[in-house]
Amino acid sequence: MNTLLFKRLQSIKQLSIVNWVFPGSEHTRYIHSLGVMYIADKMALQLKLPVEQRKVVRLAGLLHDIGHYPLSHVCEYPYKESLQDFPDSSYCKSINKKVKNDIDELKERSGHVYMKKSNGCHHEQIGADIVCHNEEIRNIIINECGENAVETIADMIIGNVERTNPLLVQILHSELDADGIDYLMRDAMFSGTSFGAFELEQLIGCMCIGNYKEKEILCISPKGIAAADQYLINKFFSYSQVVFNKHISVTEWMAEQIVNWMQRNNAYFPRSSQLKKWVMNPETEDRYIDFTDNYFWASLQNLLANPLADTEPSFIKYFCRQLLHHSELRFEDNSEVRIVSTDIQVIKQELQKSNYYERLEGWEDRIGILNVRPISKQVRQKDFDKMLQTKIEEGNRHPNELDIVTEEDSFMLQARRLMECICVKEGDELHLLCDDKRSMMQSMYNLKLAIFRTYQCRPEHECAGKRR
Amino acid sequence: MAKELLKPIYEQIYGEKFNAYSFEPRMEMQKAIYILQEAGIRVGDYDFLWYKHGPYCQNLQDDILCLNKTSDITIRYSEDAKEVIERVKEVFHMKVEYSRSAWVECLASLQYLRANIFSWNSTKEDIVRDLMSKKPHLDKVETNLLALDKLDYILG
Repeated sequence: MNTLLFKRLQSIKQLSIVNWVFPGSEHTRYIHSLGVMYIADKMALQLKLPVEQRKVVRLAGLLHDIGHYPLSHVCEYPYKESLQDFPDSSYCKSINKKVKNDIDELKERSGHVYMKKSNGCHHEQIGADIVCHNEEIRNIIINECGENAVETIADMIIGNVERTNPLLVQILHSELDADGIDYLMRDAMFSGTSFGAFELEQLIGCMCIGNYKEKEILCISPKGIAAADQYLINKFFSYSQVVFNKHISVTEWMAEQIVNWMQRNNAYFPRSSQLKKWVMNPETEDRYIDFTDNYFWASLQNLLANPLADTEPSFIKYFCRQLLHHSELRFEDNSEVRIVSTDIQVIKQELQKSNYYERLEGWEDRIGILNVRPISKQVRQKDFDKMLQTKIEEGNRHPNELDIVTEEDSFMLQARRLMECICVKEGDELHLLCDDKRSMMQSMYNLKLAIFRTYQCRPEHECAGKRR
Repeated sequence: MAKELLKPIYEQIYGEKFNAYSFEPRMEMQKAIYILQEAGIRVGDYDFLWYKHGPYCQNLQDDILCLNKTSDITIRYSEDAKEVIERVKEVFHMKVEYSRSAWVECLASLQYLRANIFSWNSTKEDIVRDLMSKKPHLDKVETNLLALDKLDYILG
């Protein structure tokens, strides 16, 4: 905790600019990391892990967010979407075309891959790079837990279940992980909402270890079903009422666009390759330590104050001024479409019926923002089996081709599904909440929230003549 | 929208048009997208696992199989993407003992093994030995060892 890399988290707010709307949300990634360590340790005690593993779990909980970007997930966006350059002059049209496409392509989850591992410039991969390559952090881990713990902790952070004991990974990477439990409670408490109240002691007290084809699975006993339901529902509400708040959505979007432009043009924000060097190289560690929320705000001021470069698009400067003045783009009254449904086609149709959807692609001075969130990633056993069987049969029709799914692969995929989603253990049998008649997830597992809104993208005085 | 990007990326890397009806181009597409993502250039919501025949993404396969019907678009690559793609092209087109598709498969498979399965202190020989037990057709030891070096170059 005394390392500068960890103390850096005191300068990164957990909820970026949510405090503009919920003024109490001043908590940082630092305190959240302490909380995750605490919760992960409670889980380790409940699961009766040996002391050596418990130490590893505590350290992994403490370090899980060490790779976070300024403003948390806001500044991470352009580093994850790194293929394409910043949109050209038809900026609003490019943005809106993507939003329209996202709406048109809404569909039921068709993939069968669970326990996805983070990589590239994801903050978890950055964190794993720090754990593996920063000498100070590595030495602390080795002194506390031994040399093998370095890789174990890195794998727990990125969610790699292939090299490391999957049970340990699930403590930090699953529907029931310590990270989600802490941030639900903490974010609710600091933002002054009630969504964080759930039966924490009951949930953790019912955790146990199940077994699927010799893989250890983090489970709950049937007594924990109600607490698990409550947890998932509360998390769903916290997104609906806090994270997707109309002011927060647009201010975070504005910040993302500014960082996207800066990063693509190597202006103040480093390109991905440069950021990786900051992390991996001891000589540039100081630059990474300074890469916090303060860095973001200073970059905005520098961008506005720089008299020599006038290469930024005018709307980027406009966004900077707005954010520095704690302002945002004007929300278009009556443009919000908000739907909660278990049927993705219903959601899609409601969005497509909106007048604002129809006009999206033609706008040059307005943008649309779409937020979608499912209540869980659970898929019923029979549907999952059917999905896999279809793929295997397709493969059997072309046995000489190697791009197929085989029977062997299906065991691996089934195990991952149980690892990621909340799993109930009854005797030796394991099943997900959505397959349990005692759980509300039986009928709610497919619930999704979609919110679509539009905002003016230009200063008020410029829009006055253009309103339709 | 990710699937619209696949054909131009394939053409950029391999220098030829993509044909979804044939197995080898499909396999080469899978491995190219995997390597790009490992190098930090994310193309779409594609997550790879080691299926029986190596790193593979079913969502990507579903998109690949529709590609013959999609129209062509032009991508404005970011500077980061341009640099990575140049390195990928250079390595993919090297003259080695394998055919191009076997070489690309070798690179992707080794990257998956070393990033996900093998410990940091495993030797290159350990990783190559495992590759050869899983994929007997990739039996050129020296070429496999060369591939590990070239992966370091691609990933920067």
